[in-house]
Amino acid sequence: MPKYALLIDLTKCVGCRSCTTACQMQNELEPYERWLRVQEVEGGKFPSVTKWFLTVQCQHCDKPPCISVCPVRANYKRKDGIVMIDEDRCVGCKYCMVACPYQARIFNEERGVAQKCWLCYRRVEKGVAPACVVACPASARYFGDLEDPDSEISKLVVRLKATKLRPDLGTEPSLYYVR
Amino acid sequence: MAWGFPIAMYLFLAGMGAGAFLTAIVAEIYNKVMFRPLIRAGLVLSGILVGLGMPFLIADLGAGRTQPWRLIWLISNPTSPMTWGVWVLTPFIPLALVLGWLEVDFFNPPWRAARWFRALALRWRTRLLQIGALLALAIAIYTGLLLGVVHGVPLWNTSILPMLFFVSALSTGLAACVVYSQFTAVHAEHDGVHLAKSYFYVNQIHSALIVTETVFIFCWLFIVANGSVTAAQSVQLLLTGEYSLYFWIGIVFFGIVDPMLIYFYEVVLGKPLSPNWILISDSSVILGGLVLRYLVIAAALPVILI
Repeated sequence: MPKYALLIDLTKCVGCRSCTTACQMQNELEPYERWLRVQEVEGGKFPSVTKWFLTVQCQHCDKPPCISVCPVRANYKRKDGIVMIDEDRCVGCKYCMVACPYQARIFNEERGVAQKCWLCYRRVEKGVAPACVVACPASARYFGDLEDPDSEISKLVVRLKATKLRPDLGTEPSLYYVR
Repeated sequence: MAWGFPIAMYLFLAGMGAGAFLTAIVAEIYNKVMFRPLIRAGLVLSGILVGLGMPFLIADLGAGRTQPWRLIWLISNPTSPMTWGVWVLTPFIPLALVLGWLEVDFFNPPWRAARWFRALALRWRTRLLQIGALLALAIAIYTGLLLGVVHGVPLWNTSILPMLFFVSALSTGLAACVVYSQFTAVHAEHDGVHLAKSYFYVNQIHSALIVTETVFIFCWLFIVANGSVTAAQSVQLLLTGEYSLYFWIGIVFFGIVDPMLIYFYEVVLGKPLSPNWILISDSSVILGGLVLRYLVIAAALPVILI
């Protein structure tokens, strides 16, 4: 079984928000609905300060807090590693939104359910990379199968010494970042 | 923060209702003659208060409000504190309402079925009280666990929070019973013991609860403030930032200082104060409990990712 993941090379990211927009186009979201956000991060010490960008979306954790707190079991993890929300089961209690340390979820007021990145699973099932990966003009985003040791992403994780977001929280995310 | 005032109001009402029930239980064990008005108040109020929390909870839902048949799934995840809450709240509300019904005379229709049901409930009253006590205990703690298990919010993710909510639930529940009994039984003689005299004992217990609560609030904020950057920011929001006015006036003055001054004055005086003073101190406790729940929700900042 594959284990799909993303690797995001933040050293290449220019903060253009193409990924956010591509995601909104792909998933037919409103302009204020972001399954993928770009945060500006300030670093360094005065006078040599820097600013860089951090793109955050669902981390498709192996131990997702959203699944353990969801009272109706509307959150589940597919065998290929994608964390999903069953919109026909969600009651809109927002507990998952509160419990997600990555703040990766939005509330769809119209449907009354929580929504988030689903790693473009329909594209992935057809063998096409997620919209955010294809759209990135800096080629900072890589999609692939971590179970396959010969895949590009598996090699890049090792070569670029990629890390995960807040691994200390014990959520075991599937997304890797290079910074 | 995805949650706001409705959830705070619900946590407050559920805690206060459970606390009122536990007040009635303790009063029943300790002295069921002297504390008769408190027992009545606790049993009448608990079902109503916890029940009143439900509209707030449902108002905050999305698809569960518009498509209520989905709510049946709420019992389905044993790892979710919210599911535990549904497990304990669902039996508690009808049970407490029946026990409260036994305490009042005015809603007592002359139908045979109603009389039969009342007699049945009266026969099982002790057993119902025992089950209700366990459920009330669970509710009072669960409201804190619901927030406490969230790793992503350092202000909540501490084991002292459920304990703080538990003590606050007992305190506000006791206050609700005292205020209710003021309106329903004030100046009434109960087997020769004046209501005010029973408050004299109650207030000493209540001051112990408030001292405990103060210690818990201090330890909670102190430990959280020495944690991560986000945690310190949350505490700063409460003590000196955006919510400082609510914190110092709502929690510290109304929740702690004002009732403690009145109880302390009573102890110094050595005799029961006029019921009006007790009305002020205990309404003040209730207000403090509500502000505490609101601020715990409002000041919750998520962790920093990098």
